[in-house]
Amino acid sequence: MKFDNQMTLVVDAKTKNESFIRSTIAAFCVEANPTLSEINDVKTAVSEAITNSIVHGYDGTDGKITIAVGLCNREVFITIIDQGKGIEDIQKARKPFFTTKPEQERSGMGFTVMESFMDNLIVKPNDSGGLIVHMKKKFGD
Amino acid sequence: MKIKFNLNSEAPHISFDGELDEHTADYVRLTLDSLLGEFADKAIDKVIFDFKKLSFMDSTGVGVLLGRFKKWNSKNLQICIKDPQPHVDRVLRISGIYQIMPLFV
Repeated sequence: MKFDNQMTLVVDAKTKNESFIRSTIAAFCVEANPTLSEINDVKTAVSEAITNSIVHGYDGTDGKITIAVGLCNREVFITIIDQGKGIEDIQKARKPFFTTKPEQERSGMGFTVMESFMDNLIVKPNDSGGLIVHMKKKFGD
Repeated sequence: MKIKFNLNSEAPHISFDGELDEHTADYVRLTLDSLLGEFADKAIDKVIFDFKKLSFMDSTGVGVLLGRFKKWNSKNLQICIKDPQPHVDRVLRISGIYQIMPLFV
């Protein structure tokens, strides 16, 4: 796919980077002229995917998260890749309230929020281990 | 994230200023639970979470709220939510939080 503009971030899988990643992606999307509500949707969905990589994928171990963002005709395409342990049953994990860590006060709503706030969500295993999350959203719909 | 509280007024409230995500969740959890003793001393049975300055919250925040509900409800302490920003309100609605923590109006 040919994008009007593109960027890729590679960051350590640390919770302190979450706010930075959200803000950076939001700033990058500004040229597509999203509404405040649309940009907050993107920030929230991205936050869910990053949290999932840190908490579930890497589970406290060191690792990197790659975030690729592309803009095309006022549509944003975001891909988030980790090399963590991945998800055994992706379909099950996408169901509302599903969590592998109930003892940690997890809501299990991460994928539901991503699905609700974006137009499309694809979750698939990374061939080299880990998880790939693709999501997109059209601004000005 | 900054948490301020006023437990001496007629409607005791706790104000959240900042972002509630995975990075701030533990701090929020610990700070809120550290107030439990004070609630008991003051015989408080209802607390308002003021979300006016809560600029961001994702489903990790929902988990924190669910955890407080379970822990605080067993001590007969009711929580209400006040003034959430629209995008925080959306996360709260999708996850059904208002069924256990009603909006304060």
